[in-house]
Amino acid sequence: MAATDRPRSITASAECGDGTRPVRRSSAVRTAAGGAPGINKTISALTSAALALPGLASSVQAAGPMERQWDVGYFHYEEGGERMRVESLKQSLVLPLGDALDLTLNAVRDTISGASPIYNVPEIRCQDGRVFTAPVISVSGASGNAEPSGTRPERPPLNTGDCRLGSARQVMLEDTFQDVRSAGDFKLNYYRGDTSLGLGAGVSREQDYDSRFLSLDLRREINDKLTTLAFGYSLASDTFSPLNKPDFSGDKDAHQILLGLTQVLGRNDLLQINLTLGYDQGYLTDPYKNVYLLSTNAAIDESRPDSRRQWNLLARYNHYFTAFKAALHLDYRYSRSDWGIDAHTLEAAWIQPLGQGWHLIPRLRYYTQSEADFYQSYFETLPASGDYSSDYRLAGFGALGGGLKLTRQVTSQARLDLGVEFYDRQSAYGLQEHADSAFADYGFTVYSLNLHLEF
Amino acid sequence: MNARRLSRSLMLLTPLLAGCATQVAPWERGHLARPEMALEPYPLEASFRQHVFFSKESVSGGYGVGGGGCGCN
Repeated sequence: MAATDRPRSITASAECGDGTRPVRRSSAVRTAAGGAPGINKTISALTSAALALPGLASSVQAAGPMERQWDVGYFHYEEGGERMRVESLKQSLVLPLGDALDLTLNAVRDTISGASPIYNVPEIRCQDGRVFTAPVISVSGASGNAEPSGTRPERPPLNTGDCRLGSARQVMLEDTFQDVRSAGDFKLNYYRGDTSLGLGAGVSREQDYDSRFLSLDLRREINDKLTTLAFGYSLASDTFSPLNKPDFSGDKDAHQILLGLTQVLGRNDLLQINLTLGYDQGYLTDPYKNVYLLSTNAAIDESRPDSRRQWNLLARYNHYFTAFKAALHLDYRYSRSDWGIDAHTLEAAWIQPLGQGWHLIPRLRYYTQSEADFYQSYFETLPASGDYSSDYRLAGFGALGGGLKLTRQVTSQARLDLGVEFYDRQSAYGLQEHADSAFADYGFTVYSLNLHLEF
Repeated sequence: MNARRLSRSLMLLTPLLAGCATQVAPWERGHLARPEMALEPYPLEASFRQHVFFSKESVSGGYGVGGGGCGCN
């Protein structure tokens, strides 16, 4: 996703080196330094470091291709209970091609299993102690079909005062759900003077979902390389062939436009502001999600609008603390969509070198979103708009996350990263006014292992 | 429309930021060039995290363009 954010490989400077990272200099800089000793060497080393950061290249040297590197990562994602588990294997290879080109090749394979929520039913509690729940619908995995099993339980009259609606609970897609997602993409960057141009494309395949995308981005350094302007566009074209609807498939196009500005504010301060506009059109309904209708005592397929506009304003601020030799990363994102959802995302990370090649990175994240206009945990009757969903992801809620990552420079060319991250979603954490969705509270944990090689 | 107002204020912000930033000479950019100061120091992990949040929250993106969709539940 973060096509424009991929950092160029950083060449360490002799002066800044704390012995934890490889000290390498590009041949271009070596020529410029001419082997001069003392202060000139330091300056050229610092300059070489600056050269390597996008938007910071010195005026004597145009921005150039990234250095050769390979990243491979294993991620284990696990929700609580019998819910979703994902094993993910990712790799990313960066190859410089001459003086003006580089190529990045990414591949990922996700193995997905476990149960996920399909709809919510209210419990009906009567004064005589009886508790009723809605018809139990058996849905067997993504390959199954939604057929009521057995006879529908009788629903007591709600208007007599003896019985009233209690809290909702989630009905889960059974734990037979299995899928594999394989995806690959490439990105080719071309560098010329202060400008670079990126072209990318990729595919993603699942049993029931195919996606193809193209992306284009343009970056230009101005203002003595202190400012970088970016423009990006991408188009994804997706086809959903739900396994529970054999004769149906739905298509969707997703357009994204990005305008970005990266600005050096001082020796230790860097700011990036991105504005992203997204427009999705086509089949945006989730074919595996139902809504429960109280009036007919049945669960039926959800229905979403066939377009969505969304925009994001992202501000990222980095500050370097010389005293700690540490970097603080602060991100804030405001998002809004014409489905009535607005959201705030706050993230902070602290990258602390510990010496001997070790780094410790604590991270915190907070997210809050309002509910979609057409979301209800269940429906009395179908709304006239024709749009209705009880997808827990369209509810109003908040989420707190945190993680810890430890990295170790093993050799001058290899770095090993180990990380864990927690996520806790609670209806009560949501800032915006929303209907209670505490029945959908859950959490997940991600464990990660990464190897980074420069060769 | 909100988006239009926003993009206009972003355009106004550009020269403002450039103006208030002190001139930082290339040899003064050593700290900025450190790997810790890269906007995305761990890109592989970042793309996995964004994919998870994309699957579990209703808004997504903002960090870049590109990437395919998924039928994520």
